[in-house]
Amino acid sequence: MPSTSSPSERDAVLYDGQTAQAHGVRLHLTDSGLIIHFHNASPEALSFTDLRLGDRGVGGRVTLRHAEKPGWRLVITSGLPSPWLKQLRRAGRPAPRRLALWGAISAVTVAGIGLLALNGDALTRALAPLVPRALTEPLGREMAETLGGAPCSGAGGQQALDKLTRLLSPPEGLSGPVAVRVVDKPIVNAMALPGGQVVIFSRLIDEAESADEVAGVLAHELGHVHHLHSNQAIIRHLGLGMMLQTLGGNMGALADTTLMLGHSRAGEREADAFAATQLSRAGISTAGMAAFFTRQKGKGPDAPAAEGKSAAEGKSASDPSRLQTALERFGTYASTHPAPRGRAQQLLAAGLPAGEGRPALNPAEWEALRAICSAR
Amino acid sequence: MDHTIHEAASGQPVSIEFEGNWREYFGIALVNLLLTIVTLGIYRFWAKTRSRQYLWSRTIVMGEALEYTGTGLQLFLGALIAFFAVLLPFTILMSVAQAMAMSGQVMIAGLIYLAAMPAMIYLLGVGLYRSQRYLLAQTSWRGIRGGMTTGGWAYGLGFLGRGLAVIFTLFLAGPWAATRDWNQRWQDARFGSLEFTSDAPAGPLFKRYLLMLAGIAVVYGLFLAVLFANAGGMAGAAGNPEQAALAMLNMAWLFVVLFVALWLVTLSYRAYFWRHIVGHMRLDTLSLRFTATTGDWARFMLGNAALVALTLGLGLIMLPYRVYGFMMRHMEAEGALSPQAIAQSQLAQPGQGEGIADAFDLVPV
Repeated sequence: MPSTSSPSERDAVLYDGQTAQAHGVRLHLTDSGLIIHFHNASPEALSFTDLRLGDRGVGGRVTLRHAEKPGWRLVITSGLPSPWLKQLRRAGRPAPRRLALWGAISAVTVAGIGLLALNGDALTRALAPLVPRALTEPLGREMAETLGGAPCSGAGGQQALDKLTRLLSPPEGLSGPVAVRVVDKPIVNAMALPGGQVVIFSRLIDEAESADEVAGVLAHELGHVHHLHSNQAIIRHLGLGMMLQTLGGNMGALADTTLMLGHSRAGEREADAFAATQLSRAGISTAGMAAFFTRQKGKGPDAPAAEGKSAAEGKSASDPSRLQTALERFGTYASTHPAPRGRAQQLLAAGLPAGEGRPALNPAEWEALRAICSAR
Repeated sequence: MDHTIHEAASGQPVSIEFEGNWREYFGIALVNLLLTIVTLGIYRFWAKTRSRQYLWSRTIVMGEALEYTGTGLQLFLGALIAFFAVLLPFTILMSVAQAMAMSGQVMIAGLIYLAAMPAMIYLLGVGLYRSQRYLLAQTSWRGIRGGMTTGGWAYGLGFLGRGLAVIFTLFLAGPWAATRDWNQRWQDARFGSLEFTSDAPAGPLFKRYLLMLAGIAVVYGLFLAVLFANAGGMAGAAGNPEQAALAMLNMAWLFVVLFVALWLVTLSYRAYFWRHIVGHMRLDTLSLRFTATTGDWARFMLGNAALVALTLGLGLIMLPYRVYGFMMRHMEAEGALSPQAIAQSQLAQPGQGEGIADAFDLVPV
């Protein structure tokens, strides 16, 4: 064999996969693969289907692998002609049927991820009724107690609250038992906890200007209870959330947070819709609820709550500052609650106007509810 | 024929070089980042594989490149298995314990909580071991691959025992546990038919370790002393805003100096630790050495910080490259190997990998 190099001749190093010893060989590239000429053994012909393309290194260096021998490597430092490599790639390409299988698997996976991302709600909604009450009930009660200790028990207050709860529940009943309590905390908030536990903080009742306003907030929380939003949150956290955070790493955690925010915004809208329906059915106007949310918006979430109602009166509810509007709009995306302005408008549109409703509670009941925490 | 390589039957000197190019790696890392974003993170297993393929292929040992043979699918399967076999049952167990505690069954709940911490430490050890096993088994050089002799379940127990010892001795057993963990793992490691040995003693580490602990104590002590002294001074200068501002500035400067001092003390231990444990490793008759000094580490870490800060975070995707390059550039081998004496590994090659270690985020590269 002449030692001058022709375009189809290459020096190469062969590792047989048995030991790490390097075998110097000479390759003859052919139209169907290559022939390996050994120093002291008869040549071996390999077809393109026997070979796989391995790592490519600095300066055109190419490693070839064997389709059947795991440790077998053929290293060509001076590179290989691209038409030959093209033929090798074509031969190594999986059969059309295999390709179709992988394509189908990828498509289903992508579609699955997309479906979960866009409509994970449907899944959590379907699973929410399956979370056993034996788990959620003690959990919710414990959370309620941790948040505020013993419920307030001023004379007649709880009766007024229970009457409101009955009034605001659909005629066919809520999807599970509900327990509403007022706890003595200087926080203007209310929350629906797992297992039908609803907590209203006393400052909210202090700041409310009418029973209608409290009724609106209560109806919203009952909406959360009815739609089992806390169960959905538990499923989301244990199921999809954990899966995304562990399998998806940092990026998955980011995606999870985005989905979570979107999901909880949808929940708030659902609870608002429930509230508007139930208030209207009970003949109570949604104007109180809308007014309450609009007034709350004027203050920051942690605004110092002064004695009485003076804090709310000094501030105009509709400050037409552009920056504020922009921030509000951003807030709709970044927070779990919809921006109060759009929310108030939607509530007003969905329910009875201020003049047409009847008061949620009679004056005596409203007084009893306002005094529920005063018998400390 | 003049094209035959006449490889010496006796040993050949061993060289380790890293020939990576950051521009090439940046291209790979950027594509990886984008694909990871659009797949909600799931692509990261394939991204990690692609990144490793590149880094390995640019690591030249005795003139021949390393090769990473793992696949993204294996990493994905490993993560799935870890999720369903470990993480999900664990989380459910914790939720049950929480519910039990709330419904009054405090004893049982307490026992579950008490068992959870050792279980976590155990799994951490198993994860470390199995990650090393996967990496060795998927690393090939001249067609020969590595492996570990066991599945790591027994190693996890030893790791747990040493972890508890570290906690109960208020961290004084740190160097002992760290060297034992390292030695035990590498005693089980193989490359082809060659055995690794690792026999780093803990003794020489203690002096520096205690120095580091003392350094931390002194710096924190000074920190608190200065804080109190200045608080007193500022209270005295309450009527004089200029003086108060000056005191504040002095305090800030002192904190910076103390922080840097603490950082250097910790770094000096780390540098010594790595030189020590790698310096006591052998592959067959080959001795390994790690040469990074405290100054090398400091430059490396400052470089990382600057890179991330100056690129507003995009530089994060280059960190695996920098970590790997730093490790490889400071790795040296002394002695000779005869390639024909290295036979293929007979150890099992796992079909899935790193699930547990991935869940704990243990593998930087």
